[in-house]
Parts: sequence; structure tokens; C-alpha cells
Amino acid sequence: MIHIKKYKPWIFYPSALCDSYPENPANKIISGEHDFQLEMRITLLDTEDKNGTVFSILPKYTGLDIHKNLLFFTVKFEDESSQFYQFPFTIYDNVDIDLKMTHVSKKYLKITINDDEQLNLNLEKLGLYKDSNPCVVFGSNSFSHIDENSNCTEMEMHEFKLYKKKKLLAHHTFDEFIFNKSVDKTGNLNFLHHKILEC
Amino acid sequence: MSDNQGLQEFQKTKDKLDSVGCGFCLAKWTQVTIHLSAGLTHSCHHPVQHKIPLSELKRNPSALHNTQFKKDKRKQMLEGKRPSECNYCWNIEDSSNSFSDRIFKSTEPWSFDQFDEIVKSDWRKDYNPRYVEVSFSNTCNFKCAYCGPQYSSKWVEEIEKFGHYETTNRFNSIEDLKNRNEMPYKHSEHNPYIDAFWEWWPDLFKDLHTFRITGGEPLLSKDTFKVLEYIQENSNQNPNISLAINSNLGAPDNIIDRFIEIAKDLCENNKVRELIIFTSVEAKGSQAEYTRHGLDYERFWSNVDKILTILPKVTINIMATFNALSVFTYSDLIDRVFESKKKFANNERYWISAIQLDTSYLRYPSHLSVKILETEHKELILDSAKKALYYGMTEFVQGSYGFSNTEIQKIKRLYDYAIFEDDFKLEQNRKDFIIFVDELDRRRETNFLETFPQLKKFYDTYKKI
Repeated sequence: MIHIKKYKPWIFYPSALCDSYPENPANKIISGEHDFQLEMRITLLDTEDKNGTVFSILPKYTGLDIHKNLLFFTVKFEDESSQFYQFPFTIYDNVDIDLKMTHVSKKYLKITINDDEQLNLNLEKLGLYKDSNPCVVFGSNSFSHIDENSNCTEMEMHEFKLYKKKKLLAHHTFDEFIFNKSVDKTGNLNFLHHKILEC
Repeated sequence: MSDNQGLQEFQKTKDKLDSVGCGFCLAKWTQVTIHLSAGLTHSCHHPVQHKIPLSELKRNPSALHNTQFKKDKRKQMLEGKRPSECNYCWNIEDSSNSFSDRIFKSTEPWSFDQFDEIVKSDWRKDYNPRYVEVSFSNTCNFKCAYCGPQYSSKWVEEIEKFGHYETTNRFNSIEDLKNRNEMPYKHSEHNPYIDAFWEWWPDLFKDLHTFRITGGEPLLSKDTFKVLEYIQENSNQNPNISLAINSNLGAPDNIIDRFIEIAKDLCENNKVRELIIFTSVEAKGSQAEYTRHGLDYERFWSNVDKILTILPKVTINIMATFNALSVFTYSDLIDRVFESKKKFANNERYWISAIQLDTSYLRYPSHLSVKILETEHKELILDSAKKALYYGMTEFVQGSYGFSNTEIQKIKRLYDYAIFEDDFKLEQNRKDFIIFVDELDRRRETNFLETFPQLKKFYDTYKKI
């Protein structure tokens, strides 16, 4: 488990560090032309009448936000338009969330939370955004400049997985850290990292 | 600069060079490496070094760079021809769309700004280079396994006593060196190339962008200290010089301390634009000491610590020549480098990092190439690359630390090189490797199998062949 503190976001961006290694950084498949599934188990810790970003896929902002005990999911489409969707329940601190985001290119985008389907978007006419080098930020809507406008929140993350179709490309249960990075259990070097110099 | 901006910059340089001729390269004028100990010179490291005629030096000390031979090549370049000695670049340009080193070297700001002057100049004219690398002497207290008499007086002693190694290519044959007229002057002999250098130096110094001293072991040469003291006393003539010095950091303490004292004055009083120290190591502990004979591994790191502590602006660059004897402990070396990166990170360094690990693969002598190893050994390189990646620096800014993009890429590239199947003569080189280590142990009273127990099976297998 990692404790993501306010103003100290973590990021999934394994292509950021080295141009040619890992050879196939997994963040690059989180884009409209690929079939992928993101899975995360988290515990939100700062929801009471607060705003915050649970996770955001950047730079084409797609992600989950907290607004006054409600969750909203924002989707950016391939024509650069955006749409947000409110989920029909309230949330509180210390609630565990098991989120799956499943994307099948030009077909659908599904979001399930604790095994309940919350969103099922038909993408046949208008597909998901396309981006050659996206990243996923946890606990903020930004990574490079963190300030009071970054919509930061606090949470615990217990597990993170990324699949390309059925193939597991990245898996973190946060048992091993090197420097400021969580070691990818798949051995694919798809690490998660944060800006603080020491874990 | 983004990748795209970089490409545009290189294309701009290429177009401008090609407007003079398809073989035009500014490096032929603006940079030089001179081996004064043997009287050899070349502008960049791709063309084979050529002998500097003493007769030319008598009239003109700048013939250390401006030889008649080189002027002929410059003439060819200005006339739109391609000198055959530069075929490393022509091969790249003719077989791909990649930019050759002709473009990269000419794009250097200190080179590119000379374009107009060079194009207008007569090919006969002497030209003061902006980037100069000099080896004063082959005097060295080490005899690294991949080095030789040309660059190490310790190697000269060994070969004079025992002869060359009986490998396929007569490794480190002094006779071959003499036949090529490349035998270095002995320390005790009068060297007219050194005289010419000092005659040229006052004129050269004021135009220099970068001056790099290599060896031998430069700290064992009195000329190194003469240069450093000259810069101390005459910095007003060129306070923007970038100074680089190679050292194995194994010289006696009093010499290291004398060097640090001068370096401190140069840095603290802004008598140079930057001072970078280049050193070498490519394994850990006894395995490093076996490869770099003369090295005391712990003392080496103690000197690294001393320099980085006393000289808070200086960066140390470790030029690691990764070879067959590096694979088992390179990962440990990465740990040690990372520790120093962290310990000595500050906001004052001339370069971002306090210490860098610049990894390149050894090609010659080929019997020490990593290519000779079994697949299971080569896989160990990936462990090193993974470690470097996880130690990676997520922000390349002053004060942060970790391995950079380039450092990581170069380690990963080792593996690609190691497994790439080309015309490498595997069996012959494995056989030569066994001949080499057996003879090395006999001459130096070392014990290969005790030092490298991981290679016992490999040794036993190829010893039988």
C-alpha cells in the first residue's frame, strides 16, 4: 500500500525517464486506439465536502474526480470534446473503491466500481482520445506544477494493474520500492513513481 | 531542446556544410587529439591517427594540428571531395538517412561559429583548434587488461620483459608498434613534440573552448601541472575555458592533493568555465582490480569522495569500458555510483550530476569483449540496466540526483550489443581469452579463477578446445 498524501501525487509514466527503456512502456497503450483495462484498489481519505482528483489520465484529461461527496468521471473524446458523468451514490472517507476502467477501441468504455457498472459509453461513433504518450496521475489533476489549483486529494492505493487486452503489463501491490519508484511485479519495468526524492 | 528541434538544427548544419561540399566537416579545423608521447595526431577519433613530421614542427609548432597531411584533407573538403580517411562518416551517410558525426561535431557551437572564417580561408592557412585533447606521456602506474604500451609505461615494461601475448593478433606487440612508427618516447628521453607543444601553447590557449588532458596517467606528468599552473596564472587571457582531465585516481596522495589544491583555486576563483574530471572503473572490488591492474578499489572511491567534497562544483565522469570481466559486479558498481550521486548532489555542480557513469562497450581487444560470454552471463547486463532504470532521475534539474536518460540507455545498449549476431569470431576470441588470462596470471601472479569463480565452467570448457 502507498499513502498518497495531499500535494504529493504519484504517477504512472514509465516512458518518462528513458527514451528507449523499457522498450514498450505500458502507459503508451492508455489511448483510444488500444484495448486496455486499468484496475485500482484505493481508499479515499479526503472526501468530506472537498474537491479532489482521484486519478487523471493526461494530457487528454480523462479521470475520476471528487466533488462534495460525489464522484464524477470525465472523458475526453477523439474530437477533443469532453463529457463528465456523475455516479449515483455518495462517498465518504475510508470507503474502499475497487475500480475497473475497460476500454475496447471504437466500441465501448466501461467503468465498474466494486463490481457495479457505473458507466457504459458507446464509442462506435466517437472514440476515446488518442495520445502517443499519456500518463496517469494519482491524487492530482497535474504532475509538473503542484499547487492549490491541482485538485489534490489524499488516499491509500493498495493495488494497481494495467492490461492490454488480457495481457497483464503492469502490476503493483507496493511491496518493493527502489529510490522513488514502486517496482512493477510483472518485471516489465512499468514503474510508478513520485516526485519526492525518498520513499 | 526537443528531439524535433535537434533534428532541425542538425539538418541546418548539414545543408550549410553541403553548400561547401559533401565532404566538408568543421572538425578537421576546429578540433584535435594529439598524442605527444608518440607524435601522432588526428582531428576526430574516426580517421586513423597520423605521424606528425618533425621537419614540419621545426618551422611551425602548430603542425601538431596543422600537418601538411591534414591540410591536404582540408583542401579536398573545400573542393567538394570526401577524404577517404573519413569513411566512417561516408558509410553512415551512404547507407542510411542518419546524420553522421560530421554533422554532430560541426554543430557544436564552438565549431559552427567558425564556419564563415574557415570557408573563406585558404586551405594552406594554419588554424588554431577550439577543442584540444592532449596526451603528454604514456607514463602510467596502471596496466589495464584492455590497454597497451602506447598508453601505459607499465605495459611497456611488461612487454619488454615477457613479450607480446600469444593471441591470434599478437596482443600488445611492441614490434608491431615500432613497425607502425607509433612507439612512445620514454619518460627519460627528450621529446621534441612536447617542446613544440609548449612553443605553440601561449598562442593556442587564448582561442581554446575546451582543453582536455589524457594519458597515460596525466597526474604523473609534470606537463599536466605546468598547464594547470599556466591556466592559474593566465586565466585573464581565457577565463571561459572548459577544462577536462582524465585520471585513474590512483596516483600517490601528495599528487592527488596537489591537483585538488590547484583545481580548488581554478574553480573558486572562476579561472575556468568548468572543470570536469574523467576517470574509469567498470567492475567492483577484486574484479575491478584484476581488470585495472594497479587499482586499489577502496582508495579509488576514497579519492572520488575527497574530490567531490573539496570541489563542490566539479563533476566526475566515470568512463566505464564494459568488458567480459564487468558483467558480474556492474550492478554493484551502479549501487556505488548511485550512493555518490545522492551523497554529493548539490546546486553548484558544473554539470547536473556530481558523478556520472558513462558506459561504453569494449570492442578491442576482441578477446575481452562481452560477446565472448555465454547467454546466461549476458542476461546479467539486464539486471544492471533495470537497476539503473529504477535509480533513474525523474527530473533532470540541478539538485536532483539519479541516473539520467543517457546513462540508462548506454547500459541497456550493452545488452543489445552483447547479443547482436555479427561477424564476431566467437570461438577464436574465446580461445584467445583463455590464452590471455593464463598468461596474465603467470606474469602478474594473479588468479583468474579465484577472482572470477562465476567463469570456472566457461574457463574449463574453452580451455579444452
